[in-house]
Amino acid sequence: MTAPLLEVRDLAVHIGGLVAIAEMSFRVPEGQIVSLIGPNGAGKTTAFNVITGYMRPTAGRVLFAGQDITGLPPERIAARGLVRSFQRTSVFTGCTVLENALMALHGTGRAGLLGALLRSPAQRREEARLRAEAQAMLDFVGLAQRADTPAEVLAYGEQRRLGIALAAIAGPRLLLLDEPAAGLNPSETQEAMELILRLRARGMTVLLVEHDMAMVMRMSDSIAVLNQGRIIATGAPAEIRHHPEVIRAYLGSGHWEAAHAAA
Amino acid sequence: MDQALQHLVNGTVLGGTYALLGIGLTLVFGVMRVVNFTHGELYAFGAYVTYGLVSLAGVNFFLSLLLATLAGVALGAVLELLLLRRMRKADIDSVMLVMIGAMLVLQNMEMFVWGGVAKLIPNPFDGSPLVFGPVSVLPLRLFVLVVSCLMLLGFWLALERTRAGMAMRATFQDPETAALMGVRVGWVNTATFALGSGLAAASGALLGPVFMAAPTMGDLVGLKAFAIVILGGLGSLPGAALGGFALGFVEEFAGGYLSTEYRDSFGFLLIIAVLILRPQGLVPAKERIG
Amino acid sequence: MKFAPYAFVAALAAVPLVLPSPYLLAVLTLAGIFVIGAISLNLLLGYTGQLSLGHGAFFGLGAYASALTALGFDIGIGFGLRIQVNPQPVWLGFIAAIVVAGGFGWLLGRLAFRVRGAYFVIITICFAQVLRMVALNWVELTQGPMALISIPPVSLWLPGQGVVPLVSKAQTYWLVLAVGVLAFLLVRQIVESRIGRALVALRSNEALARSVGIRVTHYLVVATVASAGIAGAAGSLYAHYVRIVDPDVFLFIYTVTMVIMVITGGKGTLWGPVVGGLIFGLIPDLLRGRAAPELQWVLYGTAMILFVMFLPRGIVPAVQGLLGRRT
Repeated sequence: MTAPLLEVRDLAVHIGGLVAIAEMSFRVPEGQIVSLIGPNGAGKTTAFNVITGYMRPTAGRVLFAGQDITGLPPERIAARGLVRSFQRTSVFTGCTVLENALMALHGTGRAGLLGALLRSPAQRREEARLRAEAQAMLDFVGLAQRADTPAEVLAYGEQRRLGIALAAIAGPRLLLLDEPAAGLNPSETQEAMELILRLRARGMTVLLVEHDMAMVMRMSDSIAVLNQGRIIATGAPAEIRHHPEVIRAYLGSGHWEAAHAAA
Repeated sequence: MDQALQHLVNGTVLGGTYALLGIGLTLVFGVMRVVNFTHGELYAFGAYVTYGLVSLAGVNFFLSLLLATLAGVALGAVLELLLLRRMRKADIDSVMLVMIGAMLVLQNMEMFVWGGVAKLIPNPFDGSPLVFGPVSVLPLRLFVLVVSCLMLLGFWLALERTRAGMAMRATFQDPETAALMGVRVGWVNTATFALGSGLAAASGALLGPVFMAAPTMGDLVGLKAFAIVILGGLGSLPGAALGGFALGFVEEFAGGYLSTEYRDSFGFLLIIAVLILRPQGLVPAKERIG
Repeated sequence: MKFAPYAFVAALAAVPLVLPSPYLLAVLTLAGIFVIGAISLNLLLGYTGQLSLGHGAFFGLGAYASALTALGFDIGIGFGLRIQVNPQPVWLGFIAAIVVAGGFGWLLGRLAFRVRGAYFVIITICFAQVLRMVALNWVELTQGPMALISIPPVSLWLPGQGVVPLVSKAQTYWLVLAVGVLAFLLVRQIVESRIGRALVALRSNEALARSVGIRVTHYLVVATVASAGIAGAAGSLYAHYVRIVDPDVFLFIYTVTMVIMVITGGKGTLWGPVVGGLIFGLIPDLLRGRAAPELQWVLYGTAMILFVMFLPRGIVPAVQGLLGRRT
């Protein structure tokens, strides 16, 4: 049995006396789409922030491809192939869509100050390659016609797609998507789902945080349920749907009814 | 040893007014999240108004001090209403730039009106020092110390016991919740800025007679105010008071034992040292701002 | 429109031939030196988004480094040791200015990541003030308030004439213009490259930038060093043009001048500092004699307030908007 791509071990996060995460352990096997769900305030965003280096845990470890990445800064984690998207403020405002894509490709380039000043042939080739890759990703997500539009002018659905594109563009091994379907209408949600499936087909492992139960049930290989800072259940969608503790955690919430209806 | 005691006393006198200066600045930052670059100019304003009233209009010294402080309060209110209200939604950099512009305007108006020469502010105190054992204190300085302490006490009481003070403290801790609880944030902001400016003007009015009113005093004092506030932790009121006294002592002792010429620069060196070694200041505020 | 920049530079180069008024040349030369300072500040303030209010420090460091290299100095550094440097050719001073200023830029850059936001702004202001105090008091090195005087003018090797000191106003003007164009191109090369994209990404959305692997400290340092180095070069030109350097070069107003130039011209645009620099470099001379310097500063302060409040992106983007072009 191969090691999981991502492993969170005994994670605990205490913020100023509040227990954001009490004790969390779960795994993300390579090549799968895993969803992290749970009622509001369960600790999902905190978990994301800790995994991606924006926050330090009080205890516990985060292992990526077998290596301990706990406490590393976000940029170092990204360089290893773990990239996240953001729920809000997910694009570079004041820049065009193409510029956004080029910025997100930063890690795949190498030209430094000298390259910038001298414009050597190697630097020019790299720029051309980056542009081609940026254009290719924009085609992939369906934003090619918007390449020269300022990112903040895009429609909400397009911005969310751009956010996902920016996270995926450098070809990370693991993609962490923070509520990719938030605020999207049903057809947009369908597009987002198809996009994520296509990214998985390209070889990316995906961990998502989502509230849209229908989407989660339909596309996840495995689901981890977080409640009050603890994982209360993990398993395939079919198991989770009928899991008594999960139902109890969500009792009365419209999400659960929607999930059942969608199934 | 005697010299040390003398420095201690001098440092306390200086520290008291510096504490007022620092509290005014950190109050504005804590409540409004504004880095008030005009703070030093309000200090100069206080000094010059005192000079104008005492020397040119012949007003009673003590009354002049009071009027100078009130003038500072008024000017602060005007600045807030005219400039900061509109910038409420702007980012912190833009607000800083507007404050710098205001500082330029105030500083140069002051220079234009009063000329580039330092002004001596006459005071009614006896010129011969009071001697308490090994230390001697000029009556004027003793007066300054007493008034500073009274003002600090008054400020603390106002903040703790009055409704306005409580509104300010609530906004200081959490502006959004305060607004939800019915605190009229706009009014609180104006009052805060006016109060902070008043405190700066008061420091200027008090120290003006001690040191003279000079045209570049605003710049220097403004930076010292930042030193004080950073030393104590940006956004911490007790920190600012502590920082004020700390700077007063550092200036006196370092100035006396190390080098009189570099005396004024110890404040800046202190800022840089604190920012490198302990950025949250001596008394960390509840959250790091900025 | 593509030829506009070339035409502009050509027009500027032609000024000493067409309008050989020494007064005009003097004004333009000094304005040009500050434009170079503004161009350097724009890299840090406009493109990287760091409100550094101590830029005059790099300018002053460059001025002193260049002047001292050209004049030579002899100082004791404690323990009975002395450092003695003989007068060096001016071009070496120019390089020294860039290196010294860049070095301090490195220091500031490393600091920038540890202290952010308001703290960073304050520390940059203090930085310049501390240097001013040092310049005032380390008399053995800097002559303190008595200033470094008789600084030699720039001498260049010209074909057919050997090494020639540039004493004529036209020659100095062309030198400043040449350095200005070089600085502009340098910044443009940086900005339109992968590095420039990283800087803008940091300015626009730092959290997102980090999530795609952009190392914050590294790029802040790169921006600060490049920016400081160019400012140091401007300082060197200043020292050899005005030929006197005193501690007042570290005064806040020099920094504020450059800030106003960048903000009003248009931060984050290549031409912004040029436009702002020419406007605020030339206005003081238009107003000379008609308004006291203090009132001029009241005007500049008011202008800055109005621009930040009502035209925050500056003149260049506004004009481009009117002309229908995207910035």
